[in-house]
Amino acid sequence: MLFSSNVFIFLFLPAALAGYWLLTRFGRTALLTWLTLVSLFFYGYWNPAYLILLAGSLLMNFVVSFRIDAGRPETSRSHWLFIGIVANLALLMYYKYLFPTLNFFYAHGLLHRSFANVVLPLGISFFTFTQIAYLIDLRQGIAQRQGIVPYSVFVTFFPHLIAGPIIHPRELMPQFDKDRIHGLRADDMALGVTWFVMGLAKKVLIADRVAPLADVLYAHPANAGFATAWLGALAYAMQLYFDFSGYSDMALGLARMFSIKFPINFHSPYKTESIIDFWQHWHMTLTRYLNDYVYTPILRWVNQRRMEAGKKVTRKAAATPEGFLQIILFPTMTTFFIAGIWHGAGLQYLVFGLLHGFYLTVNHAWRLLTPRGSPLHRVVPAPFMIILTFLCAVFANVFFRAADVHDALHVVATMSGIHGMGPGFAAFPYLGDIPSVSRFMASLKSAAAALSICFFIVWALPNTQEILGQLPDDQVRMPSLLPRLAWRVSAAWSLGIAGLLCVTILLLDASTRFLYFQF
Amino acid sequence: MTEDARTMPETSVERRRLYLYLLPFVAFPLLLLISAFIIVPTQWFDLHSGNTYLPNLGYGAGLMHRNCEVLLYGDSSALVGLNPAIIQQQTGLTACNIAEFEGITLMSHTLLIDMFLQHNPPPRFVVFLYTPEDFSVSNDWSSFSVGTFEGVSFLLEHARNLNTAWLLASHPSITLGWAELGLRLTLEHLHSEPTPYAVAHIRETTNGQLPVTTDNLARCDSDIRNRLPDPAWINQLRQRYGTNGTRVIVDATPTVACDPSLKFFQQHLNGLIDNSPYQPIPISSFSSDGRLHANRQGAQLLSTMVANQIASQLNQPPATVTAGNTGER
Repeated sequence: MLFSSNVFIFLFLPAALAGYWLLTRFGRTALLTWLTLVSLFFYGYWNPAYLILLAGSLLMNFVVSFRIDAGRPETSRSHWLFIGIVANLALLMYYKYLFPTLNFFYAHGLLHRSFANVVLPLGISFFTFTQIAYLIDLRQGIAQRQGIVPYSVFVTFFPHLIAGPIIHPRELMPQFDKDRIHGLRADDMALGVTWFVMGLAKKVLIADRVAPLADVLYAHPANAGFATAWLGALAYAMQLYFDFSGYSDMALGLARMFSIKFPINFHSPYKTESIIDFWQHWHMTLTRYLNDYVYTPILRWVNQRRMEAGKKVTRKAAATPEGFLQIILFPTMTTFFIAGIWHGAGLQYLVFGLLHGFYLTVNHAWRLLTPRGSPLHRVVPAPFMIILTFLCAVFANVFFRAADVHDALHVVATMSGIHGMGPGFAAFPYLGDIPSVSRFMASLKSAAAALSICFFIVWALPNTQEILGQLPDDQVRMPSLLPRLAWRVSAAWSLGIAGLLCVTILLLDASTRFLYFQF
Repeated sequence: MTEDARTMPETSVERRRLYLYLLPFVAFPLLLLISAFIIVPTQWFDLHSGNTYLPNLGYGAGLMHRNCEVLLYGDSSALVGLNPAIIQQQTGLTACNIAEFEGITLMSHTLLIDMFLQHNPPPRFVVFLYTPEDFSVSNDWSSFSVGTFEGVSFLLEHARNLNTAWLLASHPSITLGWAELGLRLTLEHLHSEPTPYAVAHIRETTNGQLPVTTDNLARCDSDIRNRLPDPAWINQLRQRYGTNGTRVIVDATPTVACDPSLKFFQQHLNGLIDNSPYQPIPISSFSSDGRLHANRQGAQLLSTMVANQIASQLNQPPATVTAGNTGER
């Protein structure tokens, strides 16, 4: 079920909230059981058969968690952690990578037959990664083992089940404690509904409206000229941001309706001045996950080996060619190699990951060579850094969106002018495929105007958590033209946001799927 | 709102303020839905929606005391492909085409025929013509290719009863989508001119056929539409309408030779339909609309096929007339 579907908005959500409210008097177990049941219904609505997969994964990890729990022999705990991780990854490999890989071999003549791809279960990467984190945290003593009901809610709670944010057990589990779970609260409901509607509007009114231009470009890259390629690529950059950050806002808002707090997942990434900052503001919970469970263990291993060899692991050591290769390049590229694979089974995702790994490596080199206070920093103005970072993301997105590497390279070559200026935007033969609700994207002037509005929103306005006053302590408010814009419980805000909800409802049926649904 | 403020118990004044804040989030969407159910199933909407088919929707339900000796029904392939004038010319029997789009026929089944029979003398022939994948009843409305919006509109305009309410409630996604699209069209066309009279009543001038004037089909659709026919449903059509001397003909709209589903249809339809063996017709018989919409040449072909079936049955004793041999009582 999509958050932006009419069944979710008009039926599922009101029913889930009403049930939660009615069960308030029956206490914590009843509330958590209700959340599990509605979450399983939410998941099964798409394809009931995959409920078995989700339930199986959940039970397997629950059983493994017993074996990893404190009080058992250390060696046994480590063995069971290994078994748990391998079992989770095997499930992910089977559904996400096995058949695409076999078909890749077939396409290159290494196998004699092709295979039908299995349907990728919704959110399999998210619930697999969430559970691996739980097992690791349990082994490290960071998390406490939970009963089946709270554990089920932790994994299946519908606001994060399909597309994140990826949540640490330590963030969510304490919120299920007896003294913290109280049923519905009007203040959380007001905040949550507002947050949800803002996210819904981002998705339905912006992402889905600009998306068709990107769709026609990537469906027919060979027919696009310079202007079409650029406008399509920029449209996709905006679609991706408003789609996924809109989804995250909806997830955070939905959780808050049940008085549960999720971590922020987007914090104006297109306002950042470097690619390192970009990843600390884009899909933040994935970045944190990769940092905690991939990058840091690799770096720790590298540092240990260097120390064993009598080498230093200081910042100065990292500035030497050998140290840079070992301390910066290797962990970064390996992490983003894995990040690329995580995003999908296809060479284009691998290139996407490696490209970002390369960007980050260059960015780290820049920071090492020009430490804070360097006069070079004054030479390069902030707007230039912001635009450079954005363009790096746009180019990497071409690989993320294209059907394959060949198409991506063609688009990049067209954007670079290698194919000349090509036919003008109006001459692109597939503009007629753009649906009527996005027809403005079929004209150069109105498409440019629509994208300008998107740029204005991402670069000049505060983001949702800033408006809602929900910025975490470890984040600073990004610069904007309306730094004082703040949500309040007032008639104006109520009527404005409810009006926005009505407008989005009128466009729900023209809405498309979320980009991050089948990762 | 700070964390401290959030964990403080809400006072009754504060709570009332919050409830008032939340009220529009419940009330506005509900008002939207209610207004959709009031505005969309109206003649005003039919004429102003920009959808020129809507004023022609349910054409057969509006016919009164019409002497239709041959009643033609089915999905859009019958709507555009069966020309009553040709059938009348070749058989000498008056003919009326009351077919509708797929969504309408699959949602309301044969309700339109029942409504027609309530106000008109029984025909001598009822001819059903469906695209080959439409010979079964599917409860999955989202699988219908076209006409779900018109289907819901038809039910709400012509069959406002508990059955319809239950039917729509059991397909919430389609029903809510209908309301949303209807309201959006209302806003988009609020100040537009109504559909011209000639267009709004086009079916009256053609005895129900909706001729298409688009280009010819150039290449085959690669869609595989292998949906199994339901013999019981086909039999039920013959039994239900083959009464009072009425003869029933059930045909599948012929497809083109390059249709990837042709073999599947031949394998499963032969023996069930009256135009068995199921044979393809030239691609030049179809319009570029797809969905087996016949052009003028194709309509001539299909209408002649039906006329020949009728003529052949007129020359035969009633008991042996139909493939399903339950066509007449």
